[in-house]
Amino acid sequence: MNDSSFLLEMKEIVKLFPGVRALDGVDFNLKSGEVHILLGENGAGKSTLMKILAGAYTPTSGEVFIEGKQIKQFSPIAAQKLGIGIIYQEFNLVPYLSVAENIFLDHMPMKHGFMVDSKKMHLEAKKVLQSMNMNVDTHALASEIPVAQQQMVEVAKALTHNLKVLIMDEPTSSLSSREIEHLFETIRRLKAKGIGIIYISHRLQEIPEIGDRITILRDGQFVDNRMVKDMGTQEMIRLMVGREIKDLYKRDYNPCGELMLKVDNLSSKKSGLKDVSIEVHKGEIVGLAGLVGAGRTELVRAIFHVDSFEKGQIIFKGKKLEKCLNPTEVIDCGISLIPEDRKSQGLSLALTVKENVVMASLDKLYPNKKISEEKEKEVVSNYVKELGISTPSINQHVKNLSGGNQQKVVLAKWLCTKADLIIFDEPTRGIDVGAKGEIYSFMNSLAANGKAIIMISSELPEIIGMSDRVYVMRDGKMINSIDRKDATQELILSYAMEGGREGADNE
Amino acid sequence: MNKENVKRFIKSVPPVLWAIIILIIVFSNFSKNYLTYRNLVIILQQTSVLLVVASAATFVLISGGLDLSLGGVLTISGVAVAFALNAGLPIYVVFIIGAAVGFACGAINGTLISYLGLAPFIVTLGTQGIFFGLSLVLSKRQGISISNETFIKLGDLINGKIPMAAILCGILFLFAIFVQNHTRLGRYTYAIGGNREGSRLSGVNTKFWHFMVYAFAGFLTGLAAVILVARLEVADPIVGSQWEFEAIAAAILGGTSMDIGRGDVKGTLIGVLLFTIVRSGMNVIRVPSILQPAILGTILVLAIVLQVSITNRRINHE
Amino acid sequence: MSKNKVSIHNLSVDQISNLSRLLALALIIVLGVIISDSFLSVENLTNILTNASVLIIIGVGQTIAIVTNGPDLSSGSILTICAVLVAILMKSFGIPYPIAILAGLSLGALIGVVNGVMISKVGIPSFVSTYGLMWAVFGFAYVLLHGYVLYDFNSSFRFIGNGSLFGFIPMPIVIMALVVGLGIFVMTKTTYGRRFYAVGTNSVCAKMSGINVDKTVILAFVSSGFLSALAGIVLIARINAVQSDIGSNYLLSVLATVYMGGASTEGGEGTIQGTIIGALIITIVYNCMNLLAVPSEWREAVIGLLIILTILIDSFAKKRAEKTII
Repeated sequence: MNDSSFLLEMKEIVKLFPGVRALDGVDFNLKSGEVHILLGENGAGKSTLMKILAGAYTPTSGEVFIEGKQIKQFSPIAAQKLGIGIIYQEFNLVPYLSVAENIFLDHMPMKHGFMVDSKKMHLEAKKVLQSMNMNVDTHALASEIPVAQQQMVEVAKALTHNLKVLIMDEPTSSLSSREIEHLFETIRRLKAKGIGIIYISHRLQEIPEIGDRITILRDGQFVDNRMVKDMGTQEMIRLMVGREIKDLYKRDYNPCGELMLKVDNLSSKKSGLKDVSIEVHKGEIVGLAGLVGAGRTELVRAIFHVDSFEKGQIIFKGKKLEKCLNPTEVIDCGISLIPEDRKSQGLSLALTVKENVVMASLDKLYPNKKISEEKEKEVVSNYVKELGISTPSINQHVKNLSGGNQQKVVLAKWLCTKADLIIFDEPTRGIDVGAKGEIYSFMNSLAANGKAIIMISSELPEIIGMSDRVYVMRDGKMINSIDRKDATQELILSYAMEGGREGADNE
Repeated sequence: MNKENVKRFIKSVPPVLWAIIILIIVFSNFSKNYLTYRNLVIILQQTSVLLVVASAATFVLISGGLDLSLGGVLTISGVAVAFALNAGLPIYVVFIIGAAVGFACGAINGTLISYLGLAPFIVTLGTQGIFFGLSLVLSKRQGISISNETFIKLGDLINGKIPMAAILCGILFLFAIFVQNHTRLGRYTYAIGGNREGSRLSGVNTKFWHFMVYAFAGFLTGLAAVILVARLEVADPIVGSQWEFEAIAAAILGGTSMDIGRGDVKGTLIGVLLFTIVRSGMNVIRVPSILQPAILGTILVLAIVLQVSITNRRINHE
Repeated sequence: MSKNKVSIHNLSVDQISNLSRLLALALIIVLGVIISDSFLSVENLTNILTNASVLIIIGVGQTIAIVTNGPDLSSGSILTICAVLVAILMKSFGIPYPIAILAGLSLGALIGVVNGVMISKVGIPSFVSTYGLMWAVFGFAYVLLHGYVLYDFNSSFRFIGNGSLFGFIPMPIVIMALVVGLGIFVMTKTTYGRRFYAVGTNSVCAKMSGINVDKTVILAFVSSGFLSALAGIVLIARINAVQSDIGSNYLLSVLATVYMGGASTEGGEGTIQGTIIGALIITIVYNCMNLLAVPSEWREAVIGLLIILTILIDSFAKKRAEKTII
């Protein structure tokens, strides 16, 4: 049963991944000619829902109807045929082909059977672009035109496939305000053609300008669906985060010791960091909050000297760190970084547990270069026991372990280096609740033993539950630091999102 | 001509072209005969086949792959051509055979690499061994001479004025440029090299076109073999080796990059010119022939190192 | 528990891989026995092992390079030029052979440094840079020898290739055993080996774990260059002659050896034990070809075919393994 006045209907969508319930019975619908905002925190399920629509995922259960007809097959090409177009944040163009060729990539007009009808292609391309009031040189290579125009080319490409539903994921994140104006004009033109647009964005101030209706998701569940004009910014934030903080976080808050890390005015053009300062004390857990792309990972990578930076200084345990250090020396000083992506950066999946655990401490453990099997067995087994890593043996290949156990192996690796400052980048992402609790209690005991911890997380309850202080970043800048007693989800999010609050200096 | 315009002009000319111009000036100072028509035409005859093979290699590089078997393809196609000629087959059939053998070799590569997903460098190293080895077996390690007068004319310097081999290879070169710019094969080569997954998701049959890149490279090389045999008047198994590396080096020097779907067959011409001029010039300045392979090899390596460093530096600045 | 099932299966996949290689070796030996009655004689087997020794020595170096980063296509040319250098120093300059050997080994290591730097610092993929270097090095070897053939070396030097330990173990096998022993020790029991595998399996993770990736890559190619040089020295000590193309056969056969031994085209996988099996298979295949009086023109085609078959089988085995585990 479906309501055919809707262009698109998604009913009771459930999507399960191993160990994670990404979508829990979500409803979503779209009218023809409307801009429907999809709002939610990182991990709320927005991109999962849209990937199902775009054919990248198949729903575990639930139904999707477009123009009244049910979608039976979920594949990107099927979605394209049905008139569903998606524009990701990272564009999908071929860099060294022209704009026209990108637009008509899979259906180039031909002449004489085997030749590409270049003239016709460029003519048609120009037509499509002009219908969007865009004046892009169709002969320019996709890599040569500015980002805003690349986006328009993606829209044009979607239009040539009989576009009915357009999904835009964070479309304005790399645009100037003039380019945003132009984008909105284009969107209005698409609306006039009857195309429905699903618009994902974290920029609250844009929503009233361009949105007609808004749906809010939270933790994979549908929260609310209203007309944009009936909802204020503060209420949006409240609905995004309104959840109870479970009593998962065990922290004994002890008084903090001396200053361990002091970062002053760090700036890096390449990473987009602007004048960032941060302090961490012994025995302290400092939370680093912000949206994806705010610069948190970039900041810790600069501290760890994986990425370089131009201005600013880092003082660790009273000594200034040289700018040209590399991770090897930084690890020697006593800093460790547990990266965001444990599979591609934190671990060597093809190697065994024991090989991964000792990887960062090879010279420390084996000063005469020879590996002592007994010592290795002892050291690694200790960590396996201490952290509760579930593995048949220390010779097990890491790729066969569950996510939670893999993360524990990464943690063991860095504990093995006897670091004093441990940086966690999204430590509990993709991990089941049980393992999460264990990791929290380790962090707690590490802090109790005098280590300093920086924790990057996109899970607000986690940040609030574990941190002594919370720093909030946005757009490469450090906006503010909030004490534990003042930290609420709304406050953090309002600093993290544009259109929310400004930093301490600006209030 | 203000300073800005001059600077911009200097930057826009690829460094390789500067090297060529300087070398030409140096060599023509050493020998009055260097810039004569006769000399230039002889040089052209000698390198035109490399240009075609290098164009084939360029296609493969743009698609993000590598074909180390082109030397073997050249050799075995040459052997097939010689057999066909000596069997009395008409010349147009000989051309077809050369092209077909080349295409078949390329198709083998394409199947293993595109449809079976194996790594290009090891596959083409293996097929290089197979193709080259088969040539050795078929020719019993000896050159196969041909005597068909009409055919030989196709590779000859007619009346000391008309470089037939160069002209025919030039036609093939132009054909390669045509394919690159005006056919789906050419355009999809860029798509596969620049964003294969994205192109696939957009509906392009990347498996097929990726296969065709290698098949086409073999096809071109097979045709080049026909002209080579005509010029040398023999199908000689020794000739095949080292071709593929010079072909690849010429493409890289011409601006083709290996991993982002960027490049142009036209640029490969510059790379081939550089080698040609260096090779021919070495005789002019009396470099002992014993030293020539070493010097040429070193220059190739240095040139690649330079080219890749400059490209990487440019990418890092963007 | 499903986890245990997976892990047992995983061990089996590794073991299956090794077993299938031993099976291939056994098959080839059976073929040899069919062809010739004297195949399993001590003399023939010793002969095979002695012939395989050079290939194994150069294969150990190649294994290290492939595990860490990618193939060293220049190893055949390094073998040649170092052998040429040693021969010239001994014959034309009368330099005592220990010093000549040292010079040759140093040259091999030096070329390895050049390879390593091109790959790690300049960023040229190994199969392009080592391939290019190969041509340059062959060119220089040609220059050094001026097209001549040098032969008839000092008898003490020739002992390395012709002599035997305790009267019955040929020296090449002794040297090979030492190299293999050292190689296995380094790869499995030292921090260097750990670094090679770490960089080969995931260089990003290695870098973020404090491993100096550039240094590790350079060290891997230095090892390959050094061992290529050693192989060349053993070779000319054995055949008592040197000419500028003695290394040209080794390009394909060395790669075939290592890939047959289980190395992966993506890096990070491969063992010296496997390489030995690969070398034995190839040497026996050559041996059989000789026994059958197959003309030498077939060699390259056969090796090429073996390489393709090896990576094909490997690829199928991997795909099936992945399917069953998930």
